[in-house]
Amino acid sequence: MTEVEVTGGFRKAHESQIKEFKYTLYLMRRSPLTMTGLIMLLFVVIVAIFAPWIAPYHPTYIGGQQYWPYDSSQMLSPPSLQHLFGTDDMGHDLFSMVVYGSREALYIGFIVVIVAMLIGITLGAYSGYVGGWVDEAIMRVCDMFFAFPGLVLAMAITAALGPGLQNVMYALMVVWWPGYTRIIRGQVLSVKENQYIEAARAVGLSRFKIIWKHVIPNSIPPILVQATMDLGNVILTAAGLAFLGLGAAAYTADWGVMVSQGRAWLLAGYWWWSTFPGLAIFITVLAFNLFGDGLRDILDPRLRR
Amino acid sequence: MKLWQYIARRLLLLLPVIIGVTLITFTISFVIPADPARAWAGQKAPPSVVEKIRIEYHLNDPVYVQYYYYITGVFTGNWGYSHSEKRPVIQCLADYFPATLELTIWAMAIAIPTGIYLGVVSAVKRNKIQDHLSRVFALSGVSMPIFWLGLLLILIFYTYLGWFPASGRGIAPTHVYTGLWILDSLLSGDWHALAIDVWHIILPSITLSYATLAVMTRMTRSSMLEVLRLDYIKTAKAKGLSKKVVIYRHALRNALIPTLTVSGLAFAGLLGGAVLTETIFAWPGMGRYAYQAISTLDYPAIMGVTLLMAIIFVIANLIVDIMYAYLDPRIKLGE
Repeated sequence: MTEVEVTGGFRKAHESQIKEFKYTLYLMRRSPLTMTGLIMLLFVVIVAIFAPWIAPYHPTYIGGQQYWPYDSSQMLSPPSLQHLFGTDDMGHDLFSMVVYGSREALYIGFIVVIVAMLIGITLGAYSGYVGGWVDEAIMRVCDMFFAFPGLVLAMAITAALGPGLQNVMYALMVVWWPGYTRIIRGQVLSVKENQYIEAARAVGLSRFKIIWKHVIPNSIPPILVQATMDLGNVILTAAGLAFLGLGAAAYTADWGVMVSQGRAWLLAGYWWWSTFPGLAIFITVLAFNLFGDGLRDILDPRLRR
Repeated sequence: MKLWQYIARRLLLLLPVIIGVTLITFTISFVIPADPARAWAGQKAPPSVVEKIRIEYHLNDPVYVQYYYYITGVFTGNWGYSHSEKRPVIQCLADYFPATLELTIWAMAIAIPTGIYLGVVSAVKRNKIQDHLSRVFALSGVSMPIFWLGLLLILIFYTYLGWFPASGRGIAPTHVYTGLWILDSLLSGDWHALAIDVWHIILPSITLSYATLAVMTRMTRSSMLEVLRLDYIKTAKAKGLSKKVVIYRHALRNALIPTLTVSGLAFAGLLGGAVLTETIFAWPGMGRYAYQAISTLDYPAIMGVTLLMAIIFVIANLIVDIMYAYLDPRIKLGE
């Protein structure tokens, strides 16, 4: 009985939010592009989670090379029922590598965006809330980073640190944090004018508590759309770096590396090596962008009609 | 404030930005694990030679002293020595810059008009089939790995159809004035070179333009949607003006201002994309130079390309800001 009352109480207390949420879901269902993005996204995530069950081989398994002499028919074989996406010049099953590659792509995307967001939220919130020279200093540092084309800066950083997945991720974090800092700062500037912030200050909450308990939670929702699309952008940029030879080692189940390696064979007519991993990048990034784009239209009150 | 005063102020503000850029590139070169003196001297050089180089290039000095030498070097044209090309970085960049410039100009020339047109169509036909198609096209553009698009184009138009060449810039015209070969061949009347060079630039410029085109489409669409709801558009329609005049004369003019801002930012995508595009099409520009420098661990070259691209990007945005102030008189007063 009490439980029902509690739920009822919750429903009553949050009536407007629940209505808003239901309305958002309704708009989402009505938007074919957003739904397409969501379904594609779920597909990629499911593939990543169940990779070991979906992939017929382990990504490092080399077909036809367990025995001497090698069974060379397994190398660079075109797509077939046995190897859906064909094999590379060592005999790896490309379908399995593409399936496993989804894990790495999502891993890079999420880690980089989350770390960049955490840095951006912290610095942006202080910058916007404290103001003064702190604000000025943080914003000028951000400006320095904005002066670089993202991929070029990431390329220079990764080249300096040395190639490798870890370093690619560090470089991308360095490239992405200023964007979040600026967005959050803007949000905070408008949030801090609200009366509840003034009330919090009036009852004597510390600056630290006000920022973390009141300012930040109210500034985050608008950047979630940006984060969704950034997940795609990060994956795309990481693939670009891998293509330039700055990412994981050769024959890793990494989409960018696979496209890069297959490129050498493309002109000789071995089209499948580069094509399928590239398609995987495209589909994944497109899913994030479709979903993020639709989400923005739905959440933006000005565009609601 | 007059427009020229605004321009002068913006030019002055350029200096701290470029100093900020050098701070970052200097920091990056500082974390490079390799010992630059050793790299310069070669693996077999005796320690005394390495030490001599270290002293000559101030590598034993404190960081701020090194930065002082670095920044004076940047401003006096001493950008380091590119050991993969065995000549100063600045010379290599001067050689490769025109090729990149030519490629980005062409990509922009494709992207801006097409993107604006698609954006207008998308906004006018909101939620109709044209809108959905152009949105999918635009979203594909921002989602497609540029290197993969390039490879697909090569596969289709070079390997299978054989219509376009897959690598290089074509042939140099008889007289090279600007380094932009297509312009030069026009200037020198070398029609043979012109045909070949245009032939060569088609695939790379399409590859490079797609992402920018997509960004332009999306921006034009959303700013058109905003403008189309404004009262003065209703007035124009009520006056009985034709749809075309209302859309292109009245709405687009104002909708283009945010699009212009984005085109400055999109230039970053073009420069980054140029690195990938040039790598795929063996286009002898700064991007391919950077790619080769990565594989030969030629750090001064990588940092040189990075620095130059940042400077180009900053200047491109400056130009956009000035155009913005020119087009929108509300801004130029610096309010």
